Amino acid sequence: MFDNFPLWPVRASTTAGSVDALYIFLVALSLFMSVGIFTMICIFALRYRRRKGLEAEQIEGSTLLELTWSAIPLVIFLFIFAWGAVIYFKERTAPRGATQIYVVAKQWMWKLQHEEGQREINELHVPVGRDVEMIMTSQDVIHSFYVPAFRIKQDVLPGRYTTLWFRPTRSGTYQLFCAEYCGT
Amino acid sequence: MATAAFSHEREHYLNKEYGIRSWLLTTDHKRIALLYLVSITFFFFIGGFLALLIRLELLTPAGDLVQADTYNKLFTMHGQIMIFFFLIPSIPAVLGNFLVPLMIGAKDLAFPRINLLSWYLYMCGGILMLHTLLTGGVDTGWTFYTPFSTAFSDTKVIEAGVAIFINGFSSILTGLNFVVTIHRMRAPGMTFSRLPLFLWSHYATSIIFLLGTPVLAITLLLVVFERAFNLGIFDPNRGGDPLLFQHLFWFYSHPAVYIMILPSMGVVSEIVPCFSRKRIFGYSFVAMASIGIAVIGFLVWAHHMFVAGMSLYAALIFSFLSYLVAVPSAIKVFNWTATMYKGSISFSTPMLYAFGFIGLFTMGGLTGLFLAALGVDVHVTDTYFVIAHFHYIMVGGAVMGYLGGMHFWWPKISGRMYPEGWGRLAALIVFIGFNLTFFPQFILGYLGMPRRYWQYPPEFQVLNVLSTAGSTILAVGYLLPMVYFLWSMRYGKIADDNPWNATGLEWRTASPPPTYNFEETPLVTWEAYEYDKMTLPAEVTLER
Repeated sequence: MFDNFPLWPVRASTTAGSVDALYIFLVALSLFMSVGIFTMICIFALRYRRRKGLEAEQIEGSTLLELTWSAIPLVIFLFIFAWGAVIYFKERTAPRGATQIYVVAKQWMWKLQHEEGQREINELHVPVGRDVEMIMTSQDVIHSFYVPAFRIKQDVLPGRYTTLWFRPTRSGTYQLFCAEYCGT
Repeated sequence: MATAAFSHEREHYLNKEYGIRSWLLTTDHKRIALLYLVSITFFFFIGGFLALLIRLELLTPAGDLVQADTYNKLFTMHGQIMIFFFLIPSIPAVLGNFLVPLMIGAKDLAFPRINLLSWYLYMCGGILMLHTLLTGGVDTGWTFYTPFSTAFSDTKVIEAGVAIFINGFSSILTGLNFVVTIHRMRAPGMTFSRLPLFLWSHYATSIIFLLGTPVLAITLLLVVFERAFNLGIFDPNRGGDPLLFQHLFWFYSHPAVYIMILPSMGVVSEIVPCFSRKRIFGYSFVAMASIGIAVIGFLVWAHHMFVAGMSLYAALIFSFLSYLVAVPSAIKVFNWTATMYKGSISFSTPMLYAFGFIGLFTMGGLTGLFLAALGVDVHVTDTYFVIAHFHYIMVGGAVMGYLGGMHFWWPKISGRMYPEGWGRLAALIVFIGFNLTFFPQFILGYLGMPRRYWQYPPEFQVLNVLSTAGSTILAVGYLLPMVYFLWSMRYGKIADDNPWNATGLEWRTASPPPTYNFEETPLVTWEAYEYDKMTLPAEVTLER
């Protein structure tokens, strides 16, 4: 039954692990923050619900509190920024010596050519454990090369080259999506 | 009751004149607000119907209900209608139009005739959009990405672009009217530091209307020129640059998100103090957070383009700035929560919507942190994660605020009370339906389901079925208020001038207000939200 109800995508590249790690951190942080806020709201709503003999107590605000709850989120945000940036930096910088594959996208087809000249259409076979760099362009509209199992995505534009790289860590068959809307 | 029946005969803006001319040629901001209310409600239900068709198609992995061509038009026009013809005008053009003069003690907006003109511009754009929909539609996605929109799509791109172009001027004029009105027409004593937060957020929104919308207008015009006259602006085959389009488009369309959410934050900042019987916690921080969001919001547009082919360093800068804009939003959530501390909290319908807003907006905001994180964004951008995130902000946040505001000010607008029990029920249904519709989409997105697909691999089906089920519940939740608001106009209990015992100036005139709002110009000697000086009527105090 759970074949039809996955909750986590397959992890099949070196990038996938580091993306998942930050994602899990963000999920945990979000749970902590939202549960915290919702609990406070529920406690206040119940404890100070309108009833006889209970008067609201006026409080203007507190600059100290305001500064605290501005500064702490800011520090956490900057930490997430830095973490995300490190992953992105690695994602965007292909290692030296990566095998190059040339990709031409068109409505609605991926045409891929290996260094040795061998061609494939809509499918790509690459060995596990080797760095692969895609050098991509489009013949018509914007497309986007997306393999969820590798956690990588890059738009493919007409009139210029974009690149992306990955190193598969697990053999298998994975979905390749075009993630940019390209018409019918 | 005798006095209530008597006061019903009193002359006010609704019964001063009758007939279609008195509405179509009115310059009364309150009547124009109602013209907008009827028109945006119409577009809301058209956009909602398109959304239901989308959800029904996605019930099964195969494309069976509609063909791919039709599906592309459905999501395109759902987006364009909901964003440009419902969400952007929603709170500003209806509640803002009605309340900005009332809240500052003015007789009308600064330019009443321009106000009417903006409704006519809205209608011209809207009718053209409807014509586009009925004669074939457009399939570019609401984002009009080039070169698809200018060189490949064979649908009505020019017509839809012109419709949105015209509609944009309605936004610009509304923004202009609000800015001038808030600066020039405040009653004596109504200083900026006494302005209700609803007005601060409308002021911030108006700045975005004025500075952002012209850029969208220019961008759409360039798309039309490239398509109609073969100019090479965005299409690389003609020497253009497709990324230039994305920069221009998001320069408006990201701040447009704040156009949708800021007014809603303003509504919540009115409701929470009133139903907690407390001053807002940290007035100046909440006010300045609105301005901060409007300003920083202009500097984050390219976070929509992290995988678009932008330079690595540009991506770093925009990611950093996106985290900065999250701070003022967090400040607001903390202040609303703190306002409830030691309050006297009632669970009336507007407050339930405010709770819903805070909950859904918090989740929308937190998932925004995922998308601003470069490494994670690469995986989740253009997937259902993004769809879920922006619906939490723009539907969970903005529409909850809009409905909360409609309930809060309905007694003032119509002179009647809505049925409280039905109101609470509808708020609950909307909240449940919303979460069931959109929460599964976060999971779908992380699993890698791309947006704008009419077919999908079978392993995504269970989550899609949940989402579709939720959307039908949500539809019921949205239909209910329309039904009972209409019902209450005839059968609702007659409303007092100030049924919530709220502090705003709009509550110190009759319900519904007379044509010129106040019998005499009010003199303001108090700050906003002095709830310590307002006593509750006996029946409310005794409520358990």
